[in-house]
Formats: sequence, C-alpha cells, structure tokens
Amino acid sequence: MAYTTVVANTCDPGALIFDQTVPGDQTWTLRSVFAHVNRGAGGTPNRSYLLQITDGTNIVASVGAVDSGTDPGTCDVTWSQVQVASFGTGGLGYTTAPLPALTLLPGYVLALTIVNDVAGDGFAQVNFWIDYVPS
Amino acid sequence: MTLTVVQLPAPDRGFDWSYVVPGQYNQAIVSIVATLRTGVADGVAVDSSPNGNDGAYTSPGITLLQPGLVAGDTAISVAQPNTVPWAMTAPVSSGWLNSDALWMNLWINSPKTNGTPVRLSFPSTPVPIVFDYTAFRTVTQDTMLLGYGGHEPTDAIGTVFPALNGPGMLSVTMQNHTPAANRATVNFYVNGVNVSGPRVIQSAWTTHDGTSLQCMPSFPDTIVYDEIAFGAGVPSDADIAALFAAASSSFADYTTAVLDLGTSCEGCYHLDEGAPATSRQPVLTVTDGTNDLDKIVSGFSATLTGGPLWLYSWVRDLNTNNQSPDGTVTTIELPALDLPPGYVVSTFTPDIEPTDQWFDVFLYVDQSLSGAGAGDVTYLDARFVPDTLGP
Repeated sequence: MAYTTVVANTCDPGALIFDQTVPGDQTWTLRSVFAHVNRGAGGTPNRSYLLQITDGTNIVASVGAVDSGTDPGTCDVTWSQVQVASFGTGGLGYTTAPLPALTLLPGYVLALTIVNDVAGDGFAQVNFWIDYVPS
Repeated sequence: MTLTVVQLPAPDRGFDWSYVVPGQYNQAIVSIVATLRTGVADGVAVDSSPNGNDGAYTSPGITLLQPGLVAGDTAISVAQPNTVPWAMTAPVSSGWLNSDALWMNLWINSPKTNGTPVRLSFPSTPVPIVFDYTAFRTVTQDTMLLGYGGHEPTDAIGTVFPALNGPGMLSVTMQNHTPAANRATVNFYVNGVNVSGPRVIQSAWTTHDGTSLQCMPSFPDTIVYDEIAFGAGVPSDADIAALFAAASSSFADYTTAVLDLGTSCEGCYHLDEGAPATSRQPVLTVTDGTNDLDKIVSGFSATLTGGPLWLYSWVRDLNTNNQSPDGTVTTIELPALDLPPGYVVSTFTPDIEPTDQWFDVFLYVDQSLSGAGAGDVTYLDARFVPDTLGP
C-alpha cells in the first residue's frame, strides 16, 4: 500500500544546501518539492536553484529553477508536474520547474542547492510531498 | 470515484479564494476555473482629488462602463426612480465652500429634450442657503441654475444643471461673493463655452458647514453621468475652454486639466469604476493545511489590453501554459493533486487590489470517501529527518 505524506523541514538560517535521504525501508515517488528561500542583495540575475537526485553516489537527475523578483527578498520555488514559469513582484519571487517522474529507492538523496549565492541567501523551509511504499 | 463540480462562494473583495478538502473525502482536483474582476468597486465612487474622499453610489439603478466624456473613458448610467433621491454621495472638505470663489463641473448625456434639471448640492445645515434663482429662468433651457430657493430645499448650496438633449459638459463658476449684500457673480458654460456671461445673483449665502456632496439626477429618468468635479478659485473662460478641449485629447490630459482647475480641485469623480485595469498574477497554492507544497505561477506578465474580467483556468496535461492575446484567458498546467482531507487549494495574488473580486470559482473534482480502501494519509511522518540543516 502506498502512503502519502509531507516531509516538512525548517532550515537553519543561511542554509545554502539541503539534503534529504530516502529512508532505508521506503521507496518514494515525488509529488512536489517546495523551497522557501531568503535572498540577500546582489544575487540578481545570476542566482538559481538546483534540485539534484543521486543514488547516494551518482547523479540520476538534475533540475534547475530560475530566480525571480528583486533582491533582497524571498523566492518560493516549486518543482512539480507543471510548466516552467516565474513571476516576481518587488522582493517576492515565485518560480516553478518540472519534476522528473522517478522512483527513488532507499538511500537515494535529494539535494537542493542555491547556485551563485550571495551573503544573506539561505533555505528557510523545504517541504517534500511524496508517495511512499514501505519496503 | 465520483466526478463532481464544487462552486466556491465568492470571497470578500480584495481577498483570494480558498478551498479545503472536506473531512470525509479524498479528492483529485481535475481542473479549476475562476474569474477575477479588477478595478470594480460596487457602490464606491473613487475621488481622484488629493482629498481622496471616496463616495458611494446610492441609487440601485447604476450601470457601469457607459461611454463618457473622454474617449475610452467610462461613465455611469443612472436610472433614477422617484423614491431614491441621490445617485451618488460623497464626503467633502467644507472649507472651500466658504471661499468667495468656486467652480463645479460635470458631464451628462440625457435622451430628453427640455428635461428636468440635475443637480450637485452640498447640504449645509443648520445654516440655510437661499439663492433667488428665478433670475436665471431665462437661461435654464440651455444653461443651468445655481442654488435653491423658493420651493426648493433651502439647506444646501449647489448647482442645478438642466438635462440636455444629448451629451454636454456643464460648468459653473462663482466669485465675488459678498454675504452682506447677498450677491455673487456666476458664469455658466456648456461644452467649454460661456453661455451666460457674468451674472449677479442674489443669495443669503453666509457660512457653510456642508461636508458632503449629493448628486441628483432628474427623476424619473435615465441619465449618463461622468466627471463630477468641484473646487476653489475661479477658472477663466479660457480655462474652461481648455478643460473641454483636453477632454477631446486624452484622459490623461483631461485629468491634469481638471486637477489643476482654479486654485484647487476639492473633489474629482471620474465615475470610471469598472474600467479595464491590469490583469493580476495569481499563484495557485496547495498546502497540507500547514506547509506549502505547490505554488504555481503562469509566467505571463500583467496586461492592460483586456479586462476587467480575467478568466484563469488550471487544467491537467498541458504542453505549455498559454494566454489569449488580450490577456483575458490564462490557462495553466495543473499537477496531479490527489488531496486528502484538510489539504487546502487557494490562490495567493500578491498584486490583488482592494476592489478586485474573485467570483465564479469552480473546482472539478474526482472524489472518494476517505479511509479504508482509499489509501491512508499520514501527516508529517516523524521518521523523516533531514541529513543536513546547515550550510
């Protein structure tokens, strides 16, 4: 039987990388990955966000998302089964990126990274919405 | 599984809509449609003067989006029954009423010939204001009357405009008011032309405490109103002519002219509520009741070409988000949303304005009873601990 759940994480201030490992007794399918990012001044226009999936050693998928809005501010980044799009209004940015349809086995790692970060950047919240099957 | 359509009640103006999956169901959201109306304020007449004294439409027979004085601008139509006295009311700053120089302006479009007059008045109680307007009966058919006297109410100062046969911009200026002598000099204008010349009227105008505007159409009748404005100072004939000419130029030129008329513009009502405004950029948000899971944007910029109605549709399996050329229809890909009870789907519109209104919000859902056989839902499983939390 598959289960649906949300793995919600409040990050330490200034977290530029966030990792989540699939537990050893489960297999995951991702519904969405959501990140709320604090952005310092000076990252525009080079900053971006990267979701990388590995089997613990090798990269099996890598999906980038663009930044949006002016900084300093925040950006809400969603990887989901949606089109690539972004919208910014002042310091508020919203961006979406596609999510690969992958089955993630125990020990697989989801890694989120802020690319070309500047001082003041950091993940504030990272949420995984998943279906999982106990092994 | 049961396919059903859920219609949400319209949220309050200026707020987004929100839907919570009810407790007994798992629901797959198949599609969502919602309409946003921008720039419309039911019952609110916006004051564009520096005073910001927004008024209210008080007649039930108001129709927005009628052609007005300035090309492309809009006006209101008032179907006025006998029983409702005022088409519009607004608070005003009363100080200008006590100056010795003031002006009033409006535009009307009436289908009637020799129609009954319309008026702008500023109730002033308990001080009675009495004008002997009988002296102006000779010009009433093509100009207007000022003030009230005789059988008219005696507790207000104002301008009584005749209902023209067709459209016309009507203006009046008053100056050299001398309370001791009960005299003032007025000029009447139609479409920027002085039709009366300076005329001295008698009055018992002393001190006013009026703090409100009342706009009354002739009744019963249907008249289109636009560009109600009033202020202090005495515009010259050339100023009034320039104001009318500006109306033929552009809305921006007219607005500049009317706000600069005389020494101040105390109230300016374009009556263009319902005029097209930019579209908004709603973000479709999904949460489990606590945590954000999806924030989905269209990627399209706000547009001015369409509206004021903007249809947003979120559907499954699009190859690309798309938007009509005028921006009025936006279609956005919807991810698979199989939601257990307590999950929330809503819009978050960062650029929503207080007068915006979401309505006709429909969710097409495929639902089943939650519980056994439908898959268990576990919230925030405590076994999941992130590997790293720091940089």
